[in-house]
Amino acid sequence: MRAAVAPMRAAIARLDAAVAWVEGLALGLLVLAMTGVTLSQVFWRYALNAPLIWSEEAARYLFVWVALVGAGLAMHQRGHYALTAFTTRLPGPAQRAARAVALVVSAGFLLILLRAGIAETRQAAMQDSSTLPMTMDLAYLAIPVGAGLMLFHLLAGLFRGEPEA
Amino acid sequence: MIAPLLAFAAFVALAVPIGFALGGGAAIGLWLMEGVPLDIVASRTFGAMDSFTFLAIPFFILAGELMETGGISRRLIVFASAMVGHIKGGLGNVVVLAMMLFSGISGSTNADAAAVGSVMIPSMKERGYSGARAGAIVAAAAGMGILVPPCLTMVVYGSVTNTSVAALFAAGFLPAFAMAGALLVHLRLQGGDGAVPEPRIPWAGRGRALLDAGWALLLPAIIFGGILGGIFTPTEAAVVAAVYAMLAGGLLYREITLAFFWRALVRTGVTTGAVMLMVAGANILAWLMTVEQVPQSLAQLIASVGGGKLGFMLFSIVVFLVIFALLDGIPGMLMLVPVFVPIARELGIDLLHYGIVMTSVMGIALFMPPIGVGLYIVLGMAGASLGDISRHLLPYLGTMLLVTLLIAFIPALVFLLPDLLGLHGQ
Repeated sequence: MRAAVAPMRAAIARLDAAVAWVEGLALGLLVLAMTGVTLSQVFWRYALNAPLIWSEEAARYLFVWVALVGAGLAMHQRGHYALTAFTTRLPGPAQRAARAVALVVSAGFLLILLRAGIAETRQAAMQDSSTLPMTMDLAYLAIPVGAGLMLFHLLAGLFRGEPEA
Repeated sequence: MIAPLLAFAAFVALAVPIGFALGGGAAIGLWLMEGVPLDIVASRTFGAMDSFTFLAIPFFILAGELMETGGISRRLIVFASAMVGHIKGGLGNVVVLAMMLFSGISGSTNADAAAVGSVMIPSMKERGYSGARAGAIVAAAAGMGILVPPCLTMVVYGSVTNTSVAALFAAGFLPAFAMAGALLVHLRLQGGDGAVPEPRIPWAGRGRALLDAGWALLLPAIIFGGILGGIFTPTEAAVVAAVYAMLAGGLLYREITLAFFWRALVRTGVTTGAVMLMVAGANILAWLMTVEQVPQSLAQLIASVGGGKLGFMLFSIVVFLVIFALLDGIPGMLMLVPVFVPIARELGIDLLHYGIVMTSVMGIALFMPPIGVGLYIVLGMAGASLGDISRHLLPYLGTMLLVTLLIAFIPALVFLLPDLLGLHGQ
């Protein structure tokens, strides 16, 4: 059994790292694009005196994507803020129990967010953006994608082994 | 109606990440309500993030990331040193002034403490300050600096409570000056080891320092002038600040490499994601609380206990001190806003005033021994024990708490500037 588990663990860890690499690449480009669009808005309005119509909406949707992909990568880097002052003072078994509860609550919320996100994205497909040539599902899609990424890293992290605090 | 709040508090205590604890607690509440589709979780998440004001967050984070290595912080410190190093109190004064200038550009208190501390603590030790005292002064000054706009905390508070961010920025100035002044007086009265005046720098030397720091000093001028003059929105000012820091650090000072720039972009995205997930969770819970009319009931409860506005303000300060020390500032704030802000509104407290008091308390709590998050950043740089640094720091924090009470009970300190600029009371 154990011999069969080890390669699977390694494969999951590699997949986890690969997904995180892609997230990092996408995130850098998204932040760059968001900066570029917002800067253009300032430039066109104040320097050229010809305000762009689409820039604010584009920057907002890029931001939604940045926030959700960033939240995914933050999950991989264990960068989500949590209050650990109490749990670290617990004895070993209680600490493990607390960690299990935290895992169930996080996974439960992410599942709800994933399901709700898919439903909302479907609905948004029928709605046109007000200034951009796209339907709103492109913006809403960030939610199921982000929730899925967070859920994936949360579960893959189980195989990575928790760092002993 | 109390079940979601209890669940949320239990989740937080069990170290569930704050965003999931907020969202999970709210989900339980939604499930108990019946008839409310859980899809609301996604639409509230999207609604929370689909905001142009919030875009200021990544841009201020990016500006801070770029400035730390962009040579901007070092030049600001040299400038501060040339201006006030010779006054009694010596390098302590320099720390306070440098922190004001630096906080005027960066939006993040922890970044300020790291940037100013890493330069100032070693040179203070050379002049005979103990590491513990040097660290304590940097910590206190960084805590003051949170009130100097631009401030990430104010952007988040303004966005989630529908308070004008420009008004919050304007409102922060006088309290920041009051707190900086109080710290300078404290340092001057205290004297003590190492607090010897530096040699006075002749005006020619000051001129050179000013010129060298010129590009860095221009940045706060653009930000404040732009926002307070009504030219830029805070978001536009933030993007200009980030691009400016990039250009100054990369082209003028030549200290930012492409690889560093890329890492700063990704780190900015990750921090933004972690913050916005909490904003989303808070937004779901806030919706539930509004629907269930929880704030009204709690406000009635508080009114029946008596104490009114002032009592609630004092109560808030105590709770903020504990929560902000336990958590980093912004997570703590997002946790408290859905519960406390509606009660404050219900009691007739101006949300602009409430936000500034909240921010001021946050500056103290971030460095509060033994748990303040910022304290540990300074501790590492000072090479001192927690006990030593706490002994030096507590009197400064006492002074700051006194100023905070002044801010809480003399609203004019907060309203004067926004009123003058016509930013208040829309």
